[in-house]
Amino acid sequence: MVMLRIDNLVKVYRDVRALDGLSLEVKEGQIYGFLGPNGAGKSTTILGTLGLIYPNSGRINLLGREVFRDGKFSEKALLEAKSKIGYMPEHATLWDFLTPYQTLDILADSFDIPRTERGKRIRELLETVNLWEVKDKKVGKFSKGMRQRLLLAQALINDPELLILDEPMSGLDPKGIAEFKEIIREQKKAGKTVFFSSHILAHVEEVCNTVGVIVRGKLRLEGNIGQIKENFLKKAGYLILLETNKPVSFEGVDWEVERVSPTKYKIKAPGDVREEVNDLVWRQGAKILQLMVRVPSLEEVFLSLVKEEG
Amino acid sequence: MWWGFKLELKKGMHTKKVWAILIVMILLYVPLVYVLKQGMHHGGEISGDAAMSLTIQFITGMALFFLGILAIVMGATAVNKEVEEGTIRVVLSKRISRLNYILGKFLGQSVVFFIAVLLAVLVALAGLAYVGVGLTGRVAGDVFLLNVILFLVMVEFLALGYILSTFLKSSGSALGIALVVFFVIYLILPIFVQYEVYTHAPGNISEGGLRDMKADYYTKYLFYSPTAQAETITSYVSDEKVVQRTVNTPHGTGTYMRTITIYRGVGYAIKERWINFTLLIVMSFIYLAVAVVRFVRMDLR
Repeated sequence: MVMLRIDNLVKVYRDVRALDGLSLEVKEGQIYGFLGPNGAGKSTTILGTLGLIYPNSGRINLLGREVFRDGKFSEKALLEAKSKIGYMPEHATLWDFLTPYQTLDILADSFDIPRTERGKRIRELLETVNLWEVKDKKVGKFSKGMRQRLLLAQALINDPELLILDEPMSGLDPKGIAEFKEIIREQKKAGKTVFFSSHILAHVEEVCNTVGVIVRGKLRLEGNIGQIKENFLKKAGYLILLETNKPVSFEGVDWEVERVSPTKYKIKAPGDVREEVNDLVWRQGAKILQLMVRVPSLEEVFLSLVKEEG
Repeated sequence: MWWGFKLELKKGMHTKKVWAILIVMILLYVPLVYVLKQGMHHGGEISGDAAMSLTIQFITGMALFFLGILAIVMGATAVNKEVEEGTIRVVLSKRISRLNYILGKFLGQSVVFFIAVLLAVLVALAGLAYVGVGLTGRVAGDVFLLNVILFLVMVEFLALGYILSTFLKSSGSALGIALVVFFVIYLILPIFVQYEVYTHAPGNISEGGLRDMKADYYTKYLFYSPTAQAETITSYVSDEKVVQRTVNTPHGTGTYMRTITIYRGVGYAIKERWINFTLLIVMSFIYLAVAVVRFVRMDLR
C-alpha cells in the first residue's frame, strides 16, 4: 500500500517557488529519509501534506485517501487520514503550563482514545522517551532535549501507521540521537512507515531504507541508501600533499592545485586519481606527503546537483 | 470544537488569565468603594440608585479602557503566537479541523472572560454591601447586566484581535497594531463623531435631545466600536430632569431650576438602546467570521 503519494506539488510563497512540481511516493513499511539542504522545501512538503499550508497545485494522497487536489483539501479525507498519522514538527513548543502527562492526555483526547487505554498508552510512551520520571514536572522547566522527546511522544500517541518527522534530530546531543534512532528502528520492527526529513546524511543513513533528495523544491535523487551513497562516492575525490624540489607541471589534469609553499602543492582531485598521481610522482620526481580520500559533504553534493541542473 | 474549547479553558485557568482580568476588575472597584464610603461619611445614607449610578459612571469610564485593551491584546496574539511557537502545527496535525479549533479557542477565551465577569459581579456586590448599599434584586441585577455589557465589549474586542492575529504573522507587530486600533476606535474616532454631534445640534437642544442625537451618531458612525456602543447604552441608565424648586427665605419666596438625576437601571438602558446592544453581539460575530475565513485559508508556517 502507498502511504503517501505526492504528485507534481507546487507551492509558491510570494515570489519564491518553494515546491516546484515535487513528486514522491512512500510505501508501507518504508523508512523514508527526506534529505535536502536548508530551504530546499522539506518542511513545506510536510506542512502541505498535513494541510497546514495550502499548495498551489498538485495532488496529495495519504493512506489511500486523496486529501488534496485542484488546489483544495478534502476536509473529511484529511481528518480521516490524520487519525492514523503522527507528526513531529521541527520547531515547536508545547504548553509550558502542562506536565508531559497532561500534554499527552489532552492530545489523546482529540483521538477519542478511551480513558482505560489512555493511561497505559501515556505511560508506555513516556517510558519509551525516558520522561516517565518527570511526568509531573511542568514542560516549561524542560531542557531542549526533553522537549524534543515529548514532541516525539505526542506524535506516537495515536499509534500511527505513518509517522512524519520534520528534522527530528536537530538540537539533540549524540546520546539523544542514538536513542532517537532506536525508537525509529522499533517503529520499523513494528511494521510502521516513517517519513522523516533531515539535512544531515549521517542522521538518515543508519535507519532509512529509502532516501529522497530534494533541492530547490524538486526531488533530484531517489533510491535506497546504498544507491545514494554510491552516488556520493562517485563524487568523492582525493586530497594530496606533494613535495618536490623542481617545478611540477599539472597540464592535462582537471585538478584544483594550490602551492602552499615553494616546495609543496596541495591538490584536490575529483574521482579516483591514484593512477595519475602515481604517474606524476614517477615522471616528475615528486614525493607524496599525504593522500586522503575526500568524501564530499551532503551540502557539496546538493550544490553539485544544483550545478548539474544549470 | 470542544477540544479547542477545553484546551483554551485549561490554558486560561493555568496561565492565570482569568485572575488577571479579575484583578483588573477588582482594582477598578477599589476606588469606587472608596468614593462611596467617603460619600457615606459626609452625607449619611446612600441609596442603591445613587450608588449604582456612580458605579456605572465609574466602571464605564475605566473598565472599558482596561478590559478593552486586555481583550484586543489577547485576541491579537491568539493565532500568530501559536504559529510562531509551533503549537498550532502539533494541534492541527491531530484529528481536529481548523474551523473547530478556532471556534473552540474563541469560545474558551470567551468563557474565561465570563468566569472573570461573574467573579467581578460578586466582588462588586460585596463592595456595595460593604459601603452599606442594600443588596436588592434590582441592584444585583443591574451589577450583573453591567458586567454582561463589559463581557460583550471584551468579546467583540477579542474577535477584532483575532482578525489582526490571522492577518499579521508576527505577534509583536500584531500587539503594536492592536493598541493603535484600540486607541483609534476608543478615543480618536469618537472625538470626531462627538464634534459632528455638537456641530449639527440645534442651539436650543435639551440634554436628553443631545443624548439621543449622540446615540444615533454613535450607532451610525461607530457601529464597529464596542466601547462606543457600551457608552451609548450606559448613558441611558439615568435620565436627567430639570425641576423647578421654590424656596422661602426671610426676604421672600424664590424659585430656581435644578437638574435631578432619575436612575432607570441597566435593564431599562438595554431596552431603550437595544440596537446598540444588538450591535455588540452582531459585530462580534462579523469580526469572528472574518477571522475564521482568514484562518481556514492561511498558511500555518
